[in-house]
Amino acid sequence: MDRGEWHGSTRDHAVLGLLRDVEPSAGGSVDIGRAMRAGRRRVRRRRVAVAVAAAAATALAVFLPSLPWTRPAPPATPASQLVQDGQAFDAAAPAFLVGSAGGFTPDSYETGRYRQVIRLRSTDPASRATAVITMYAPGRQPSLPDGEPAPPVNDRPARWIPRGLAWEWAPGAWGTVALEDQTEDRDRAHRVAQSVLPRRGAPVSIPFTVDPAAIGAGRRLIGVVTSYPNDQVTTRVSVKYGTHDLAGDWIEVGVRQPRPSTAPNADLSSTPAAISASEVLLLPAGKPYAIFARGGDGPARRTLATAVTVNAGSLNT
Amino acid sequence: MRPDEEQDYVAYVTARLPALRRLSYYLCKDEHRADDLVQSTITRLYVHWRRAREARDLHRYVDKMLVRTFLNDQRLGWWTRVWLTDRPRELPCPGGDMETKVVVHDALAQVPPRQRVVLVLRFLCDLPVTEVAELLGCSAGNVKSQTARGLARLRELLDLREFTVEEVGEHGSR
Repeated sequence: MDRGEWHGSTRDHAVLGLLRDVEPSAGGSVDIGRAMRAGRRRVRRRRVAVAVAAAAATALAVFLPSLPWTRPAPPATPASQLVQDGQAFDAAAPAFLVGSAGGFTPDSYETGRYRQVIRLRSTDPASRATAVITMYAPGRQPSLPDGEPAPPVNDRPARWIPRGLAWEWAPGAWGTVALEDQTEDRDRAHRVAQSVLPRRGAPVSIPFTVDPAAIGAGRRLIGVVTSYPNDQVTTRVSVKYGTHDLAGDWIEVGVRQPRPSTAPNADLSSTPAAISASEVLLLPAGKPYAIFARGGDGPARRTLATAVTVNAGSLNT
Repeated sequence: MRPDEEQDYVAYVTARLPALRRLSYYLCKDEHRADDLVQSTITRLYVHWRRAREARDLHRYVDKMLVRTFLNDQRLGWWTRVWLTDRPRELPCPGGDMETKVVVHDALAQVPPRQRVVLVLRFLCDLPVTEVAELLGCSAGNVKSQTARGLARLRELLDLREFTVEEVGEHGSR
């Protein structure tokens, strides 16, 4: 091995090298027969699932159009019902339904009055590709796209933009898809855009309360950020406060999964905390969540983080 | 799977089991989790055996499968996972400088999972940066930075235990 590549000293190598002759105790609980039986069951289930899906698809294709009770899928929510006073979304409720498409799946949703942002991650765990969908309320897009025309998205006009696509999801209201860390891939961008449907959702359920006195003068709720459930587990929920909806003076507070690597470096109101230049993270002892505050200035972050009361019943702790 | 394919599978897994258990033990905090990880990996291997056999390097393919299974497991179910604490320490390495090895293994187990994977693959499996990057699906630069961070964390953990690197070197250099 090229020793120059190590980024570790001979001493580091010697320390870890100690483990080379470590052997787990003989025997162990690994059972090849059990693996084969479980593997066979898994293969059988897959075959059955594929066969059922194929049969169902065939049956539906043949019979569905003729069934009297067949109804078209619920229509998308009209834009007029998604926006209040003709130009703003509900700040605490998602206004769009986003599916997995183009090799991406939704990772987080940020609500807002004038724009809603959905971050996507690759469906391939080995890939770090990400994409961002930004949906603007009517007339709230920073500028009208002037790229070359693209095929319509859900029958709405669309235009290509650098590394993505913009489309007019409702009259006078535009949305964009931007593929990050990627070369131009118009087909993927178009498929992602097709997966976005205007559909009013329920306001996001927040598993904590914040003492209003800690929010700061002039600030109000400007959005809610929530991660999409991963194996039915939501790993992050937060609220954003600001004086204006699209201004940069926001401050965010919420709960999230603590990273195993996070070590406390301070105490805040008798709670271990990891405080960095950009974030205050409270790590309540024995709890499977961390309370975080980002944005704003340091004192405001500390005040806000300590003003959170987690509703124990709303988390599966 | 055809009987002859099953025979190949059993022969391969039987031969590789010690190496897989060792790699898994480096990655996991205890033997039970290590064995669970190997069990999951060889179950997946059974399901994908035909594809696996066509891999250019079957050993590497299976190691990759095990590492991926480990990393996926780390990402799941944080609200719902129940951790048992205060378990008696396991001493899986009889003979030699047992205490030193246990201390180093304990420290390695506290290094964040992805950094731990990088350290294990580079320093215990002797894989070059490029192969680790390929195996983890990231850039070589990312592997190098994870290595640096992982080593820093490991040194920090060993220092916290008042266990100096020099002592380890004296007692246990091979």
